[in-house]
Amino acid sequence: MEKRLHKAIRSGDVSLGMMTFTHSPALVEILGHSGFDWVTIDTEHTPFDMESAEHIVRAAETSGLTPLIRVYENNPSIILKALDTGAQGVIVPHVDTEEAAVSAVQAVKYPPEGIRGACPGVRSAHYSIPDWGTTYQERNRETLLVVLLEGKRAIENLDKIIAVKGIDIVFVGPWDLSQSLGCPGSGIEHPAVAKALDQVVERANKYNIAVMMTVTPHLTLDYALELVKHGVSCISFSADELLFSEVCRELAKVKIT
Amino acid sequence: MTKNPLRKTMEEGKLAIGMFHYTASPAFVEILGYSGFDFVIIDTEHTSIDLHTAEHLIRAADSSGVTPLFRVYENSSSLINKALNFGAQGIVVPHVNGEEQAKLAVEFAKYPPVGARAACPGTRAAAYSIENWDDYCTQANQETLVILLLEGKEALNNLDAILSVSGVDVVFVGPWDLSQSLGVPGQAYDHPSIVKALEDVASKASKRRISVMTVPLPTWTREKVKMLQDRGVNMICFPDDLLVFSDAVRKVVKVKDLTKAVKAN
Repeated sequence: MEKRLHKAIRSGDVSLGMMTFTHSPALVEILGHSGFDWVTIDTEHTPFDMESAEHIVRAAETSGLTPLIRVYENNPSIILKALDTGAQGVIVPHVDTEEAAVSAVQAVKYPPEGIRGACPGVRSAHYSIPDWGTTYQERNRETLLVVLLEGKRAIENLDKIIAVKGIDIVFVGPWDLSQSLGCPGSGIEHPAVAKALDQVVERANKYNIAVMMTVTPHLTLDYALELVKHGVSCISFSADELLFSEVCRELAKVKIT
Repeated sequence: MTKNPLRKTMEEGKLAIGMFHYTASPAFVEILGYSGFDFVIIDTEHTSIDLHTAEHLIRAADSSGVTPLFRVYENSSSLINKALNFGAQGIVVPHVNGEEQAKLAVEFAKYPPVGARAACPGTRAAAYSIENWDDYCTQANQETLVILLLEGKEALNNLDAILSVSGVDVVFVGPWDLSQSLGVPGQAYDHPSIVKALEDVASKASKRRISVMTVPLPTWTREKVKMLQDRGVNMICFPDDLLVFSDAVRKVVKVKDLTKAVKAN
């Protein structure tokens, strides 16, 4: 299995991903064939759950993408189900405190490091009992934990959150963050959002943690480059529905004569 | 069966735009509606979309104000009836090469006495209602669009006979298959023979008040799309959502090369 996202964060390269809100396997394969590195399978803002997510994990793997699942809450039993599909990592929303971060780390690791429920009859273990000893150690080492910092509280508790061992990537969520900072819908053109991002990048660099951010609300290459200049190394190019929507509005202009 | 706003747009002589739907994502259908598209063609010829899924997609089209059309995978009575029963406002029939096939498509899409469509009131199209069945039948026969894909040499040879069939609303020139059939594979409207074929179809169709639909490439500029209009096309169907998405995504991936330059600085 290719590990495009793992390789990128370990070598410090910029990587590119997108969220799938449609759970269309074909759209995910298009991302993989086009050279994207990862896909985030969203279950927080979509009607889809883990059964659908597992189909999408397969589509990601067959096209070389690293599949991540965004769970809908920081809950060990939900994180367990997400990881059992074979997803290479989870994105946990609204991690605002050290306790929330510790709970997320515990949920992604098998004992002795954490509390992840052990079962060999799942996709992530290749449905196999004899290999369990190596499987669980490999999963503890390789499963990526991405925590979403998307509120004022998360920024206030930044030092403590980032010091929690076991976080691989911090994801700055501008939509919720700007809402919470009193500048709804803004990106880093707003000084409050830019300041929060810079703080996160500075702390994350100290702990060798990668920084992920979405280009929403500006789905442009220029804005993505701005994020990179600020120290973001994992560019999440918004969601399939938002990108398609932009393209369709552009195509519909053919009606204006 | 409600009034078909697409038919109204066509009758008013306005340009109608649409897209083939391959993804089976209701959200992608709704995005077309919210973006101002006039129609969506839910495809079962080249996709794994089954009829159950298609019904969900038709609802998504209705709820977002885009007219749902349905491409059947063959010119079949039961398939066309089912598509229309779920609420599609028109059928797109692939590979129509002669008069007989055109007649069958009309027959399958219309209730008697016009055609031979099987009658049942317990369908979504009939609002699951026995009341007003006569009105429903009359309206369904009036509003349902019959769209024939002309995509082979044989279709061009039989053009006059196909266009003479009563009940044909739209002829759809399929440039991809047509190029394959005329010996210029993959060239579509980049080859003069395909442009010439489109012009012939459009000039004959317009005499019979039949609309003309065709497909531009996703990479085409607005000016290039207008070239089709200048040749008599009044219905533009953009290629399937997978191709459109793929084109957009390939543009986005260029950001990776650009970031290398940023980092080098």
